[in-house]
Amino acid sequence: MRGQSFPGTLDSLAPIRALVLQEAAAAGLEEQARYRLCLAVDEIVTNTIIHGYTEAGRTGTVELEVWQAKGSLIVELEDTGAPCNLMERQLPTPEELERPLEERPVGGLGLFLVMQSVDVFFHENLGLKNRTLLIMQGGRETIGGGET
Amino acid sequence: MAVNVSIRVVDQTVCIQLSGELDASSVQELKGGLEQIFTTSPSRIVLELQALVYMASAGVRLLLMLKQRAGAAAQLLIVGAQGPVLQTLRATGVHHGVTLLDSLPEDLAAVPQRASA
Repeated sequence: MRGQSFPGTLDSLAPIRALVLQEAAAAGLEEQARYRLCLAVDEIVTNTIIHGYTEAGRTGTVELEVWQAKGSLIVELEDTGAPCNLMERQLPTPEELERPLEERPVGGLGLFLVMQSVDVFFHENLGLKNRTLLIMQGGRETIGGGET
Repeated sequence: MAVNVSIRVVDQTVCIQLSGELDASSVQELKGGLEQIFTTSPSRIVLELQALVYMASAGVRLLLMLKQRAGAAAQLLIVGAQGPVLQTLRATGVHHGVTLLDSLPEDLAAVPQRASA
């Protein structure tokens, strides 16, 4: 288990990705899966920083924990930003994704990429905290064990 | 790793070379500097992404913004997008509204690249 607290500012995005990449590599995730997990974490954290903190006039931290369980790699993110119910966000529809670029709505792309990237996504608001779980399930390679 | 940008103008075409990582932080740094390209109302914007190794949704939104600012009649070409960056462009449907190329169109490849950022 690896945990770290980051300032809730956009400067934290690159160090957070670096940490996730490191942990994913140590766990034996292959390259594409590492990228996808990083992307998903980045999108959630970006949403927290922009909507949960900056636009809401708040400041705070992003708490990140990474651990392995039963062949899966789990990233847990917590923040004390404004509640945002990610489970109810509208994702772009397939029709919207095919529209000419000038007619495209810009919202929802971040969460859409999260859904495309990880095996399991879970989000809840716990009163003063928002919590997100992102899980990459072990495939043919064994996360955390076995010889590579 | 942040993002590096270099811009060159060839007639009515603006070529923007992006390298490094495009996330919400680097897009925010870039945005102001990109406004200058619209003063000449380019009919074609060429994004050279050969050295771009990461693109988040903020990068996709930047592309949408570039196209929207350039207008429906303007062309957006993306050159050299690779691997996961290309996958993100396809997953978000951007490939429907741009031309994806492996290398620069001939008329631009012939012009010496002296970048002015």
